[in-house]
Amino acid sequence: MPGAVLLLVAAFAAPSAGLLSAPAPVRAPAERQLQVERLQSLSFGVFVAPGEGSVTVPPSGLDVAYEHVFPMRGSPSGAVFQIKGKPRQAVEVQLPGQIETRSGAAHAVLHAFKAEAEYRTGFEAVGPNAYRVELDASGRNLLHVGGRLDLRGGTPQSGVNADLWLSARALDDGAAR
Amino acid sequence: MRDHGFARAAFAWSGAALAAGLAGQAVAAGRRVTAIASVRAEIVRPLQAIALSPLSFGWVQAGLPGTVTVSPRGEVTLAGGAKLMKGDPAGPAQFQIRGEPGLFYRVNIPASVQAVRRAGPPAGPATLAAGDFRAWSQTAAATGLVGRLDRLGADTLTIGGTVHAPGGTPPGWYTITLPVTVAYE
Repeated sequence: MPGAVLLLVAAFAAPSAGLLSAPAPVRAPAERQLQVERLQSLSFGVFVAPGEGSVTVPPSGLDVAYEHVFPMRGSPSGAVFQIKGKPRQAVEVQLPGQIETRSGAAHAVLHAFKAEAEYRTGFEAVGPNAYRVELDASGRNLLHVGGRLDLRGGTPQSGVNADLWLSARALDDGAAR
Repeated sequence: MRDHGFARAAFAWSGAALAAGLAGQAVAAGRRVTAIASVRAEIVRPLQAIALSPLSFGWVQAGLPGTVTVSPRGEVTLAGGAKLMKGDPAGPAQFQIRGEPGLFYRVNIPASVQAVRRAGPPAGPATLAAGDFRAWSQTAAATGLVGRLDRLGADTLTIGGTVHAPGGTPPGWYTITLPVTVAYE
């Protein structure tokens, strides 16, 4: 009865076609890749610098230390990075050792970068400017980064502008650990 | 039972191998991801005040009580029995202020000070009260205690005041040490 078989297939094919044209109600969960995004810049604020001096901003942005310079206005703040990945994933984070910017004879040295994690479980320093960070149950963590600015050989005109990078690498697969 | 146990062990081993394989794959394929935040510091040049000329009330004949007022713009006003004599002209103190272009600064001057007799014919120690000091910022074009730096970061600040000479003031040379400080607003 080849004719009967054909009819049966047609009867099932019609509702399937109808379903395909409807919006997809369920989507398979995508594999979450490790991501880092910057939420806030590192600011040393506005200060008067008669000559050489330094400003140290802790990761929290509080209790800023000034040496031979005088704060004027605005509040310094630590940089904030958000790391997204898999729940409980361990991540290695690397910060630069030193950044230099020059302005004539004067130059600014940015160094001694330090990080603090908002979700502190498993957080530890694992090397110079490197940290092991664990993501929380939702696969996120926030890193606050501070550092020290040294002014050497005079005062750079028009201030200091530089880029602070933070790179991250997955150490494991999170939940599979 | 033995077979069953062996089967469980084999299954456990397979699971461990699978987990290790997945983890290894994640690390091997784990590329570094990087984000960049800007770092900023605004550095302001320090203020400098360079004294160019002193505040002078001139030679005053003060037999009777009187006052001499020198405005920051240089006008001299006499009151009471004070009379100006010819000679050293009266005039405001003048400072050159240097700092960050365009910024405002505040001038701090004491409300009053004592002018002390330093030289003159023999007489006992004497002082004169001086006060009501006022400043004029050339860039801000205003009298008050706030000045402004021009686009090159300079300003000329002049300061005047009033000196009170009571009757019978011993003649002499009176000087004032007037501390003037400037600070960014």
